[in-house]
Amino acid sequence: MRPEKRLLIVDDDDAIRALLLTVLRRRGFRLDSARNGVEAIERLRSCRYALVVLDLMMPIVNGYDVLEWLDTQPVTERPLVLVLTAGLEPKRFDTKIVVGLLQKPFDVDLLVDTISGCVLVTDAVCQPDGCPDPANEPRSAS
Amino acid sequence: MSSEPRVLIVESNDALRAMLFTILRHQPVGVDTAVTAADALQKTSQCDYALAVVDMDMADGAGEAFVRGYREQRPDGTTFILAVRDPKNDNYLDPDLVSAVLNKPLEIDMVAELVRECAAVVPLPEDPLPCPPAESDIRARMERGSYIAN
Repeated sequence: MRPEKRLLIVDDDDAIRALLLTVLRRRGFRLDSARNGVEAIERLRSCRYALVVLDLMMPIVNGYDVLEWLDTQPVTERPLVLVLTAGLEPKRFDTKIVVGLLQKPFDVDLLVDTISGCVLVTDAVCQPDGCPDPANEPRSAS
Repeated sequence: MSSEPRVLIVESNDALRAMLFTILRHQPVGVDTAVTAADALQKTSQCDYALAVVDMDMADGAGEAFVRGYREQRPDGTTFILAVRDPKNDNYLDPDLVSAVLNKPLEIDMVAELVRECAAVVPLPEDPLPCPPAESDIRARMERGSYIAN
């Protein structure tokens, strides 16, 4: 498997996730997505990501829980994290993990440029055995 | 009633509205248009839209008037509001009212793809309103010569 820079999109809103996947796929990124913190941590356990776009307010396990889990991981294996915020959540972020905040409603161009810029400074990595290829999320997923 | 998701274009500029309508009517969605906030709110009172493309640069704050009016009219409405605006206009947009922002000039194929992908996943209310036929459907039937107004 060739080294790659893969992104993980984590948001419980199907339409927001579809929007992010659509615009980032157009830029040629390899993408996975998760609908909540549980799925996100599962993905993070099986694959290595250059960057995670993380919504905070999600059911089951929220974005703060995902950040806490990341804090327990080896520094060299942590992805960069870009947090999507509505601006009302408490901002208790570890700056060693969270590289930036993007306020909703996000400007699509700014979001894509920010992600592109962040990903530039990361190294491509080979995925571990057992990491599935990125697949386009079926529209019916809910 | 068509099962395609419905999309509303709220745009006072004739050229932009025509362009957006033309782009979107070729997607698997039903498309309606509105010129003013009042016109748009009348449409949203008759139909559950999956997505609305709203120009925030319209005169007299009509874009903002529509999104505020929509939230009052349908507090539990699920419509995904895609705002478009000049990047020089960086007025605050309430995240409770607007889902995402696209800058002008619009990248046509991206708008088409975004609307198609997002509209397909927005959930409809359990008891959706019986929408009138979409403008895009009427236009298509007129072009085929099979539309009889009644």
